[in-house]
Amino acid sequence: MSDKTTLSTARLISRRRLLCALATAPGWPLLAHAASSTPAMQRIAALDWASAENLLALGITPLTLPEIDRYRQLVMAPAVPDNVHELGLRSEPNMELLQALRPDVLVMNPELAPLQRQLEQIAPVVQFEAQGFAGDLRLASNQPIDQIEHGSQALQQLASQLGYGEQAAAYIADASRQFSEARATLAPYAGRPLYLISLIDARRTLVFCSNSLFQDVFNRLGLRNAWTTPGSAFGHLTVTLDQLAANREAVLVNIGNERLVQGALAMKIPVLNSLPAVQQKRVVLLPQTLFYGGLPSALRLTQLLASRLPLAEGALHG
Amino acid sequence: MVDHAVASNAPLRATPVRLLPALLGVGALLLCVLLIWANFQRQLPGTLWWQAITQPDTTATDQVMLHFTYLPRLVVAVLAGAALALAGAIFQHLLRNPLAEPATLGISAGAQLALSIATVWFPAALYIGKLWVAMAGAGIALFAVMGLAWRQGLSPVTVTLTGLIVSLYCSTLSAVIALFNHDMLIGLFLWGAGYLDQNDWSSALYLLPRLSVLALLALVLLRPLTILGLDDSSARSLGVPVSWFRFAALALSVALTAMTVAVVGVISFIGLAAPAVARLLGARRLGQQLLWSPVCGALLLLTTDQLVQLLPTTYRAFPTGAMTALLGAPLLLVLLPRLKEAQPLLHSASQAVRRVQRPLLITLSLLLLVPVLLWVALCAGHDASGWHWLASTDELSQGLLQLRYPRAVAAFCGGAMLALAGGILQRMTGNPMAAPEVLGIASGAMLGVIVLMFTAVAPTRAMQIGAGAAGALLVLLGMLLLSRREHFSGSRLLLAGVAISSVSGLIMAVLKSAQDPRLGQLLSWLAGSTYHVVAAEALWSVLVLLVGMALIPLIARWLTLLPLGVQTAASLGLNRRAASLSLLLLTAILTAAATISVGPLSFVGLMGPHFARMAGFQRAGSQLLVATLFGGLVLLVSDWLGRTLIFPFQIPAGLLAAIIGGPFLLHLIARRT
Repeated sequence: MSDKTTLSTARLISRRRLLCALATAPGWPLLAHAASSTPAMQRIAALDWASAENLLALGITPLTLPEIDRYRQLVMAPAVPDNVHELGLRSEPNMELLQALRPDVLVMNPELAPLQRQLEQIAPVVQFEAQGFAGDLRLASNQPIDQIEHGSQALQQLASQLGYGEQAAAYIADASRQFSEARATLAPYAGRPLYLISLIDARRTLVFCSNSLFQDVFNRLGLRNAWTTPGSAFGHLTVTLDQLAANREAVLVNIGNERLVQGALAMKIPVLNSLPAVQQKRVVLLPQTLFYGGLPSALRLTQLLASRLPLAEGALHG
Repeated sequence: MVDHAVASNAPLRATPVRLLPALLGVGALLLCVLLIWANFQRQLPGTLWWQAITQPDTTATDQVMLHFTYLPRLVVAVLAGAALALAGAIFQHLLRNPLAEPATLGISAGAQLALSIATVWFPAALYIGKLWVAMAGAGIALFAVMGLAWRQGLSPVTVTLTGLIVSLYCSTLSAVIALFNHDMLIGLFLWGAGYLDQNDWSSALYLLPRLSVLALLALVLLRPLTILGLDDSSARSLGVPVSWFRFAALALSVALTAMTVAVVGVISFIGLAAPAVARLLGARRLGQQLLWSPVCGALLLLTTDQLVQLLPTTYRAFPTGAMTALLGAPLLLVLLPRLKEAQPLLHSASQAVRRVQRPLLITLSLLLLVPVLLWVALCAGHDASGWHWLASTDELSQGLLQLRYPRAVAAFCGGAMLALAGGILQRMTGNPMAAPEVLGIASGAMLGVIVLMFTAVAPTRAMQIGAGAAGALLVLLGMLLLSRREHFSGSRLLLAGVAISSVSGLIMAVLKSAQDPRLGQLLSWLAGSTYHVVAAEALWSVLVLLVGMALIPLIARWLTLLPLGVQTAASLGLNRRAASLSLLLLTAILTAAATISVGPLSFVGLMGPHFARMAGFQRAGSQLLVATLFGGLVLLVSDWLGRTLIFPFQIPAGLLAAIIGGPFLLHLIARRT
């Protein structure tokens, strides 16, 4: 409860600062140092992608990041500067390297919690969970969570702990402005059903469901998800392509694997080709976006949809 | 045919004994027909069935679906089930091992490895033909097995062992690729789970003629195959060129499997369970087994697949290939007490015994290597700027030592415990394929950890250990209950363990194909990573290992006497059941303790005892001791290399041990004549 109050106050205060910050975007960290009450931490080691993505979104360059090459392929934005240290596999961030680098603080996803006691020997640990889970069981439950709201709160809390509270407030305020702008841009698509998928092979695809972060993006933008049932705890399901024929009006929006999808479309694979969306050339290809990255991921999808969806009507990409 | 067999071969076993299997068979058939009917009913009204089957109205979606997805799927299920079962029956007969199945010879693993490599590095190859890539992988694995076992005249024991190791080796390499590229491999994980859904008739029409020809060839080979079931010298005296016929029969079953696997993906368990079920239903002679195994296999896969299709939409995405384990495992467990105990495959009986020259010297050198290598593993490391040797006592060095010693100690103890457990199992059952993970205890620990991972929001290390131990304990209790019954011992227990392992295989396959972001963690733990071990756990594993090693002199006598048979053992004053039970308990505890710290990928449990035996340590006590030391050292060195070779990335010790140890073990097997 109290979290929410501080959050909204922070938002009010930071509106004006936001404009400043936007004008001098690269200078964000400096600005924060001057303004914040707690000293901003400098050597922040990110132990997972979502943490790194959120730190980078605030303009903070993390000291470390696991699997940097794969991050550049699969998360893409915000971009990773070259001076970030490679930390090894996401499942096993290299503790010897962390120890040698002497970070001020470690930021990690709770799924690395079994490591917490060992990590605390190296530096204080802050847990950051961009994706919320309904209930105790990690199964799709009947209690829907607004993932964007959850991600914003988590980001605000993380940033405050690290001494970057103001940047976070500004970023969050900017995000809600971007959501409204994109909603206006996409007004012609209001209520239009869209399948949000990620093609796996010629027979199967991931489909993003009603309990995903991307569903909440749809809600913000006034778009309608053509897939209506909840999926796994992470908000997706693996389904056969024929199930995408259920809604014959839907636009097909594919995230990532652009070459695979273009290849599959070019090869005229029977089931894919028979889908109404493909027949009537209502297919949009978007680049990769991390589906459990919280607010920055939601913003990225928003920007991509706002810029690509209007181009797609009637025109088949690739 | 069944009745005829009863009359001619086993007059003592009267009809009532066969009643349960017969009832089960008829019941399964009825269930299958009922399920097919229900699935038809669900899709179309009865009046349109015939039209949809013969000439579907292409504008009606439901008729198109029935004709182009449901029917081909049904045909593919029957064909794949029959082919895998036939291949399994031939393998089991030829290798004289009830644990042999198509996967034993590395066919699925080879195909999977080839597909992994193609997906990550040569995606264009998949456009040319996924089928060809898979077949090439399977073929190369087969040639490796045949080449290595050829000098032994393709003897059953050698082929089984080589096949198992090649298979494990391929899966290890696939696991390494998956560990570093799992984001790219979701399509492959789906194939690995064995989905049967079809888009058209192409797979069915591909399989039908090819499998029919291969089945006919199997019929031609029936007589030589029967003779090959005897021991080699009798076969030769009957004028059979043993190696060549064995080669032909193996190639035939591999072709059957490779085609099926390439088309439908990995279907677990059918090749193992169907022949066992057929034997239990009364198929005793080879001809009967070759007829009834495919029938059982087809029925098993078809029933499973129809069940899967009846599930609610959300769960219909469950892979049929892995689900077979859910039906097959209980069936096998129920029928196991009826299984004829297979002939134990004693190495020493069939092969010339080479005794080691200076056993004490080798054992002492191995013992001395332990502190030396431990010291190297602790001090030699890698950092962002290159290699270093910890000499100073500054804060950083102290911190690094604190990080290094638990995993080095745990790696050594884990490897040693697994090798000891493997040695006991191989001695006890006389089966060279016996290894701790086969007993299902490692699978139990793994399932416990997986369940925790998906129920607790932020599991701590202590919770993980608790969950792993609980899983292992549950399986252990089950095993002990089974083994208390008179019918369960040796091979039967191993089969029960394989059944449990395949259930955990199902769960892994489903998890892998679900695109869960926590997959990476699971994969690295499964790969035998010591990354998470903390000091207290390392000390505990030292304690368990020391107790285990202290028991070696006590159990050595049992292990020498047990394989001599019930009468001999009893006349020498051994309580066979008490001894078996104690040995089993010890193995289970060792396995559980090792699995929790170094993961269930315990290649070392298989490798350690074989190394000791091939080095010339034939007596139970010395074999166990050398195996233990060897297993520990292999994992210790692997852990050190894995930590430093590709810094800051790390290769799990279990995987690296397999990568280093596999070729070495194969070399030993191939060289020995």
